[in-house]
Amino acid sequence: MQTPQQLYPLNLTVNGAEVSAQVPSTRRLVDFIREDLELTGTKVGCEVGFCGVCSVMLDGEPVAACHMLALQTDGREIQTIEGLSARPACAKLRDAFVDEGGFQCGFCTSGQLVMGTALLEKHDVCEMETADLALAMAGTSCRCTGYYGIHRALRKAAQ
Amino acid sequence: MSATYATPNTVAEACELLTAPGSHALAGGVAFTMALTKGQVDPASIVSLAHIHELHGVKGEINGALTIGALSTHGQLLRDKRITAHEAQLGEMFADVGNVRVRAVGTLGGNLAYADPRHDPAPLLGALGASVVIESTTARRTVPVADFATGAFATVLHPGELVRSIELPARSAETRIGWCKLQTNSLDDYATLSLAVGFEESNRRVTHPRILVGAADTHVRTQRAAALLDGVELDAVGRLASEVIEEVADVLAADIEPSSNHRGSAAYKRDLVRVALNRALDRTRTHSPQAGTFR
Repeated sequence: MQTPQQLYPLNLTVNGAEVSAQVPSTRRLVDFIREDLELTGTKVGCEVGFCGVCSVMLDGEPVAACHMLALQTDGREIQTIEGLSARPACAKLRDAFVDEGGFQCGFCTSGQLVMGTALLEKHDVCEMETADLALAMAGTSCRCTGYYGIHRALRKAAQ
Repeated sequence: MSATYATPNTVAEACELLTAPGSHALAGGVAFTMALTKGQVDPASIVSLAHIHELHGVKGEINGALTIGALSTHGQLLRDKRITAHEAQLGEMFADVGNVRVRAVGTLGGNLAYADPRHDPAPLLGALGASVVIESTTARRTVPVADFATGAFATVLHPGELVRSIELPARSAETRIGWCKLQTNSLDDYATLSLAVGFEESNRRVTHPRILVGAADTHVRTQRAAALLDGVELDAVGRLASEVIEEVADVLAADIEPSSNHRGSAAYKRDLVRVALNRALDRTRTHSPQAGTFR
């Protein structure tokens, strides 16, 4: 018979709201977000940090929710795609994705928006060479668009 | 799978907890969480180090050495001017670890303790003569980065020990360092092969040569190749004779044990050693950045 899983308290801020939960030690942040909080905009993709679909903001910096434990966010603040539109850069980028065809199937889009928002907030994307833009967004994979639409959207949102 | 979770506030408390069988230290959690996902670890207890204040931050010593707290993230280190002033190629290397998300949470101490031979920091830090400060409940010891990993995913760490800090010795004006990372897939992939070379230049001769090879799929012992450089003459612009480089490359190619995988065949990686050695040696003379570096 399996022993019941021990649970640990987790208190954090999610999209501006205080959240208190009980989680097992090995619960990944991405599973906590999707299954416990039912915020399913954050996706599970490669699970090795390569693809970027599980990207969320942790204390204002983008992180991969697949390679962190939920308990590591205790006392901290996360922002998922569901709460990210509150940031002006994200709202602009979302509209630019629509205008410029930055997505087809949409699976990577929430991760693209999280990573793109972080980039727009820290760098002048208009001034970036294409190669630097590609490097800056490396680790945020799209298997449909070929990236041109995503790059156009980033540049448009930066204007 | 039901692991206990502890958040000790001191190194001593953490070391005590880490003596328990099946205990795992949790630093940034990048590799650990991936190993959990893949079922490669089944921890009895997880000891989070995040609340241990003394493991955070970089401290400059009076003699010019730098003490890097084990929990310093790659992102913090690439933005730390003291690190890049010590050696600009460190900034490049840290900027090239994983991707921006990995660098935001992944730590240097965790990286070295995990000892994945594909990772970037160990070869360059080894060439710089850096050491790992290891602490247990009873003692503290210091091991050169070059000797810290004993194989792929294996280190000199015993149960109950943890990495406290990484010490970068004061930089002498005679120290020459060159690092080269070669990638055959995308630029955010692991290196296919990386190589770091370090030596002291004394009266136009090489002394104390170090060569470390990364991403060769096994830990690489390079003393035999490095010894060939000892005492060798440098020309007026700091170059080695090409015959010497060829000889060293041949020994390195024979001594590394690469495996064939999607990044290239073993034979290809042995060939790459020659390219990497030449480029790294070139970089001991100049400070030009490698192409494709975005921070």
